[in-house]
Amino acid sequence: MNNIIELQRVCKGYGKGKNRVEILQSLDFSLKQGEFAAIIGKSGSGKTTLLNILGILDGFDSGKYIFKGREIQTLSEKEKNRFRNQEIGFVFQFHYLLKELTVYENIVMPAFLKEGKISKEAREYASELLTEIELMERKDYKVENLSGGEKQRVAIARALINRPALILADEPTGNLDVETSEKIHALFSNLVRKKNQSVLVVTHSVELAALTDTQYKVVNNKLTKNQK
Amino acid sequence: MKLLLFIAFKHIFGRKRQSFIAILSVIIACVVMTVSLAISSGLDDSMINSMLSMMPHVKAYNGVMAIDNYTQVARKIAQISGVKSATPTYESQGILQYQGLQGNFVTGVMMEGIPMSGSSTAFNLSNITVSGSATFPTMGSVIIGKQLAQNIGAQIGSVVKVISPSDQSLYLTVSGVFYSGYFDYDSRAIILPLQTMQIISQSGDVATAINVQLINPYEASKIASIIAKKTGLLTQTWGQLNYNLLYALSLERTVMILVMSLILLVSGFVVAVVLNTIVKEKTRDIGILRAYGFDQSKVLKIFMLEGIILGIIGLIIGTLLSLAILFILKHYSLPFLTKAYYLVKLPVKLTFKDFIMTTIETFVIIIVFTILPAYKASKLKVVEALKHE
Repeated sequence: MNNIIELQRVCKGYGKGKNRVEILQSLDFSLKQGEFAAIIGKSGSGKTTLLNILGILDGFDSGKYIFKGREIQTLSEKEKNRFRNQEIGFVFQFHYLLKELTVYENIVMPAFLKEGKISKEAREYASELLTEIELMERKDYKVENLSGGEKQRVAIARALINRPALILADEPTGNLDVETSEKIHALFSNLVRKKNQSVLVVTHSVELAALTDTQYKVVNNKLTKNQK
Repeated sequence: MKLLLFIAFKHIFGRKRQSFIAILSVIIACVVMTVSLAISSGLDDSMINSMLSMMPHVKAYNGVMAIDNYTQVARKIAQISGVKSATPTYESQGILQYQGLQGNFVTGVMMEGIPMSGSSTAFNLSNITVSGSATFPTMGSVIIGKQLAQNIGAQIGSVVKVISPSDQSLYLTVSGVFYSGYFDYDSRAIILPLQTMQIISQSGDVATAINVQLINPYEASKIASIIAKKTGLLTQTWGQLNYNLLYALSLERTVMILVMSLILLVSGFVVAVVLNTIVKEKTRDIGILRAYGFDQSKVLKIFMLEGIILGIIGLIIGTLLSLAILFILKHYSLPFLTKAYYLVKLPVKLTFKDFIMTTIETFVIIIVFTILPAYKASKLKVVEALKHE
C-alpha cells in the first residue's frame, strides 16, 4: 500500500537562542491508505504539535511533508486551505462545533465550503452519517442542546463528510466519561474502517489505542513505532 | 458567498443583545441626522420663501440718487424676459405711532411706498394679505404686518400716525394686514401708496428703486446684469441683499452636518465594539473555520458582512422611522416646537441629496469601523485560535 502521508526528518521548535525548545527532532513518519494509527505519549511531548503539522495547521522548521505525493511546503495558502477542506478531517478533544448551527448544519458545513452549495450527494452522505451516529432524529437540534457524547459524534460525522483521505483526531474522548468514551471508540473505529480512511489519533486512552493497527510513542522528541 | 452570509446571519442572531445595541446606535444616528437635516432644510426653505414672497428678487437703484423717470424705467425692465413685474418704490425709515385702547405705542418701521395699482404684484400682497384689502382703497390707507398689528393692538380701520425722517407726519387708516411668515417684515414693514410716501418724504415725483419680481428667483444674477446693462442702474439680487443671513444659514448647516457626523462616528464605534466582542467570543470558531479550509479573506468577509448587515438593518429601520417622524412633523402642529420658530407647523424638507448623503455617510462609516475587527479576525493564527478558551 502507498503512503498517504510521509514526514521526512521534520524538526519543530519554539523560541530563539537560549529560550529555544525543540519539540520534534528529525522525525520520520508515514501512514498508509486505510491505516488506523495512534500516538501515545506524555502531556507536552509534542503529540498535538505533530498533529497540527500533519493537519497543515502549523508549519515546521526543516524537513519534508509529503501528502498524496505533493510536498506541502511548496503549496500556496489557497492550496493548503483546499487540502484542509477536502483531504483532512479533524476531530478535536472538545468537539469544537459551531454552537449557533444545528447538528445537520455543522455536519454539512465543510461540504458547503467545498462546493459552494450542499449537493445532493453531500445531503445523502450527511443522512447516512446521521443514521450511523444515531442522531437522525436530532438533526435539527441546536448542538448546544446535545450531550457531550452526542456532540463528539457530530464532530466525527463532520470530519467524515468530505470523505477526506486523512482523519486527525486529538484526544477525541479525552473529555468524556468512561462509558461514553467506549461507545465513541467503537463508533469511530467502525466508521473509519468501514470507509477505509487513514486515521491518526492522539490519545491517552489505552482502550482506543488498542483498536488501532499501529501505535507510536513520542519519546525524546522522536516517534517510536510499536507494530501489533 | 451564500455560506459566508449564512454564518454572518447566524453570528448576528446568535448575539441578539449585542446586535440590537449596534443596530439601535445606527438607527439613532440615522434618525437624528435625517430629521435634523430635513428640519434645517425646511426652515431654510420656509425662511427663503417668506423672504422671496415680499422681497424684490432684483432691486434696481441709482446709487444715492432717486429715479425720476421711474415709470418708463419700470416699463423697460418689465419687458425683459423672465421678469414677472417691475414696481417703482420709495423706501424710507419712519416712526409709527398708535393711540389704542391699551395705550400709546411708538415703534420704528420700514416704510415702502408703491403705486396704488401695483400693490399685489410688488409684494405679492394678494397672496399674503390675511385681513382687510390687498389694495389701497384711498391715498390715506396703509397695509401693515400681522406681528406689528398685534404688537400695537391695531385692527382694520384703526388710524395710525406715520412720521417720516423729514419730520412730516400723516394719519393713515389701516386697510389691510399681511402675514409673510418672515418675522422681520411682519413686525416692521408698512406699505403705503407711492404718492403718499412722496408727500410725507417731501421728495417730489421720484422713486428710490425699482423692485423686480422674477418668474424664477434663482435666475436673479443673470437678469440683474441684463437690467443693469439696459437701464444703467445699479442692481442687487435678493441673495446680495440678504448675504449675511444666507451665509449664516449655510454656515449653520455645515456646522450641523459636522456635529451630526460625530453621532454617526459614535454609532460606527459601537458597531466596531460589538464586532470586536463577537470576534473575541468567536475566536475558537474562527480557528475551526480556518481548520476546515476557510481562507483569511473568507473570514474577513464574514465579519465585514456582519458589520454591513447590522448597518443596513439600522439604516432601513432608521430611514423608515425618520420618514414617520417627518410625516408627523409635517402634518401635525406641535406648538412646543413651532412657537419658537414663529411657525404654525414645523416645515420639513427631505431632499434626495440629503437622503443620499446620510445613507452613504452612514454606510461608509460603518464599513470603515468594521474593517479593523474583521481584519483582526482574519489574521488570527489557526493553532492559537483553536487553543482560545
